[in-house]
Amino acid sequence: MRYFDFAILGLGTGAVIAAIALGLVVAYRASGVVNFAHGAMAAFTAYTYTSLREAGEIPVPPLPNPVAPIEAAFDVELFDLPTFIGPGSPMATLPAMAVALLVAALLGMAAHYLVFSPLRYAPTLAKVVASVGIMILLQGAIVIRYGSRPREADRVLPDHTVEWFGTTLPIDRYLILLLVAALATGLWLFFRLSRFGIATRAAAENERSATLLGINVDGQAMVSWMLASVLAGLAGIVASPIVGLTPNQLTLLVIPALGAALLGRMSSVVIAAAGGLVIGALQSVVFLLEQSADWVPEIGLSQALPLLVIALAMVVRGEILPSRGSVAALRLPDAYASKLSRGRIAAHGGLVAFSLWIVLFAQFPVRNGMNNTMIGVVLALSLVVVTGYVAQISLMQMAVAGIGAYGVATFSTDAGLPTLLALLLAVLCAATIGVVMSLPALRTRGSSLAIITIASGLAIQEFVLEREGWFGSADTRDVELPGILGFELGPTSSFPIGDGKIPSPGFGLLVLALTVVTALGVMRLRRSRLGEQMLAVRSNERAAAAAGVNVAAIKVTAFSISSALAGLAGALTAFKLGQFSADSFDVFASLAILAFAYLGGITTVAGAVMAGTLFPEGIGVVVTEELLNNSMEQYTGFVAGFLLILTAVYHSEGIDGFQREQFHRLRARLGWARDEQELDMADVGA
Amino acid sequence: MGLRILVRIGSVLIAIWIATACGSGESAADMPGDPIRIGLISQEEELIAFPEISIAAETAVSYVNAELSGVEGTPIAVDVCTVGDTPESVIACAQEFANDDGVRIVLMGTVNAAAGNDTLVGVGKPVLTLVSDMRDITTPGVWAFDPGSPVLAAGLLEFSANELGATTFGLLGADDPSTAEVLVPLLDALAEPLGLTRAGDPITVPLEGDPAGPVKLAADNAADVLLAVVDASQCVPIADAADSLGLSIPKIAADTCMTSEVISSGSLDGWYGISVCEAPIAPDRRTDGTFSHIVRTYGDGDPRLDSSFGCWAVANVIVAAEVLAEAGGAGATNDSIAQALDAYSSDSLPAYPPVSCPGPAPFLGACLRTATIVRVEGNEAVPEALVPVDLTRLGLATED
Repeated sequence: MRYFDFAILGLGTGAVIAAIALGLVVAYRASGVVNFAHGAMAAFTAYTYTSLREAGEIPVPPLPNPVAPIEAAFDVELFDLPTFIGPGSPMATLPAMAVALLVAALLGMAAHYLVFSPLRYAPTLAKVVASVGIMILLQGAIVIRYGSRPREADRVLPDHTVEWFGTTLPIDRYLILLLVAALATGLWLFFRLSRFGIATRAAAENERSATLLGINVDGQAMVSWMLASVLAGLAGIVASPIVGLTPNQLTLLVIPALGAALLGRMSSVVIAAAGGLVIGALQSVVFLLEQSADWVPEIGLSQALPLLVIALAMVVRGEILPSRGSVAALRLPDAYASKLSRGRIAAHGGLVAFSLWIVLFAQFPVRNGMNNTMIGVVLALSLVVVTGYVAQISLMQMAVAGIGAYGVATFSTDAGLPTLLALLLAVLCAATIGVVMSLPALRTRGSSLAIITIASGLAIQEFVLEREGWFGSADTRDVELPGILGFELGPTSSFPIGDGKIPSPGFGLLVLALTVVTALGVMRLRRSRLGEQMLAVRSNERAAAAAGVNVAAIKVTAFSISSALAGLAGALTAFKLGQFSADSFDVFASLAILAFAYLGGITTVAGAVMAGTLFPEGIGVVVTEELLNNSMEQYTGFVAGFLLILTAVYHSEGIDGFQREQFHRLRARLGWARDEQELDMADVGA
Repeated sequence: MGLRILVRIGSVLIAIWIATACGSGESAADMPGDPIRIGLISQEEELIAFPEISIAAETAVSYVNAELSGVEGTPIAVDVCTVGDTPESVIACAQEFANDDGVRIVLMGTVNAAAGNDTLVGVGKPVLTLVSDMRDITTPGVWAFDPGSPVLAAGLLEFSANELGATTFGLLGADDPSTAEVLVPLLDALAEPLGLTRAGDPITVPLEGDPAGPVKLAADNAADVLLAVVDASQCVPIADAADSLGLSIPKIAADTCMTSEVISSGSLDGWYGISVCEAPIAPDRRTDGTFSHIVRTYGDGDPRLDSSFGCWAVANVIVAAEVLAEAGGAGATNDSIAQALDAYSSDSLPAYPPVSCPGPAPFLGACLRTATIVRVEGNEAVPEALVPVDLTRLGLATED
């Protein structure tokens, strides 16, 4: 009976998972997009509803006050634009729900028309990145408007208890179960019986044929996106008093919801809803077992349950996402490899010399920002290899970086090994984890792989990084200062050059040396035979295999190199901090890494350098904040999400590709283009 | 040719731009007549956050400058470095203050204070801290005018045993390492001499998500009293879950729940709470006294100041100002400030119990050794009892 009680209690969370899963299925059937932002949409609607109930107002997108950064930069007062609109007095429950759900519908429509419709023929990577961009943008908007602290959510359902089957439980759990069951049944009937539903199913089966039959696939997708967003919003409003209202909570529920949706192969609303409810109930029962049964190890099983569900879906279902017959598909951004002319070598040398000057002589914030940038460059390079060169989407990079961080702490501090040896071992361990976690990539690609890697990242965090052991700790972990040949090179070590402040130039030199070696290595990889094979796999796996390329070996190699680089970045992060915890390597950090790497240009080394500059606390951010008196700090997430969407939709080659294109266009206009290739590049996007 | 010139001019401009930003680090404190600066590392960017701390600190600075003439006639100012709920962000701020010679003393308004202590203590900078870890009161160079987990644990148990007549207690803890590694062993060791035993295993509540399961488990343990040592974000959901599950035993919440935001929700009606000080936590701020005067006059009546941590920030800014005056004002050195802190005592800090430094070995930094119990009535919290704690007993408990 006790297990039954806890299963029922878990239905609160399970119902939200189920409702988000329903929205995921509806959106996927309509447009073939796995929307990682679906939880964030639920959260935004829930916040809007709460705001309407409390003060009768809704937030105005996109910025609280768009002129605020200008005011701060130039120390002037311009004018205040409204940040919220509405009657200004608290609204009753039903009108507030209606308005909030209308906002959700508009959000879904905007997501379709402004983001996913333009990306209709884009590669999966662009769609995944765009949905991650929306997620970051909405989270940023919530933090700007409402702060990061939890808010008290307004209760829609009654909260009194009822005694059924000899046990007393809150009635809202039963009501929410009924609500989800009704929604799932309604959607099932809608897709089975209505003309719209049948047309949607036809488009989901084969978009090309549906278009030829005269079905307005785009309009249909828009309606479905609005419906999906309303479902998410409804889940957020009803369940936020139960699961809590924070910027992260509902957003993160997209992961178990993906597990539920995958059980239904992203096509069955009934199985997805049932899966969501079962995941919620199971998590609650496993929590009970962890707390009360001695034979169950406390290893975070309840938190990692979604991964097990996704793994189960993979085993049972095989290729888990049904493919769609699309009208056409655009290619991935170019993995441009410039010729090493004297001018380029001089430019690269100049960049290194400039970095060296900053490392040695700049003051604290800039010097610290440079260290962060260089570590960010190594992380972005890890994505250049696996995503840029082989088109394998990895959303677990920070979790792998965590293995590197804990590895170097274990090998250098606990085992007393020399720094370089400890670094090498930590990097090897990260590479090994990367190889193991890459095995699903042999069977899947695209959105499926993105889902699996995000779940893998979560699993590494829950099972490894947050557990006491070689590669994790329940509390913080200390790491000794690095030293090579008797020279201490830690951030707080003394160093003969510089102002004697923290971080020591010695640490900057260590990071700079490793970053340069890493960047040169990736540049060399791009031009090598292995690099050519990677690009062949990226272009067309079947064609590559037919040409004699061992596709599986190339994928595993790419993941291992990428993980080694991520591990190196993690180890350097550990040295930089001296004391760190698993919190630095969470799922959101991995998503941010992908975002910045894509923004900089995910297919080139120069793009990785751009990405490093843009990283949180990186030199670009530090210098901008110094110039703007820190006024942009709270906008970072929002602006990053916005730029990411813009990049995904309008310029998939990122900032690096954009500046290269402008450079070549200028040369072509001036008549300085060297050859046909450069003229072609100047035409791109013209 | 033209393009190259453009590129060169652009590069030079960018270099000048960055170099200008790099070179703009002249410390304001280096200029004569400038205020004496106090650093504040304030946790206010993430889920677990105390934005009231920086607001209260700024308010206290205004009070000190206006009514106490600053530090021997020199005004004071507070430099706020905001952090999230990870140790990493605390280390970054600690490095910034360690580099800044103009910052004389640092207030650690974060639960991850221990992460930054090494850096600051390493350069000899005195630290006044919130306590969430034993290292916060056993590290030389760190002082605490905050009861923290040791005094909190002892206060909770003594009040439960002596005032509520409990013989068993249940424990709901935040899902963080300090609960399992520090608080639970401490509570167990301290409970035994008081005739108290823990009913069932400690139950951890995940930081985010539905707390109904953990609360249901706590209810099943059938203890005489429930201690909820959880994060601020969990207080209202846990109280609501306890209410909807009909948990009727006495319940005591940690100081993290004693904020006006939580209290004014009314969810904790009927609960007891443990607070840093006796400041009222109520919407209409009925009680008179220096703290209320500071909040009304210098804090624009901001309701967030009526909180356990708001009270901590006000008191600590005043302590810092008094200590800086004792240590030589504008000419104070790290050593003279440390000496003044080692000899500091006061029974007139606003709404505070008496404090005196140092604490008994090995808790030399524990300058506040009294727990304040409050009772929540509706949406107000009123002082209920003061529980002085003998830390020497705590020393024996931790040795065991």
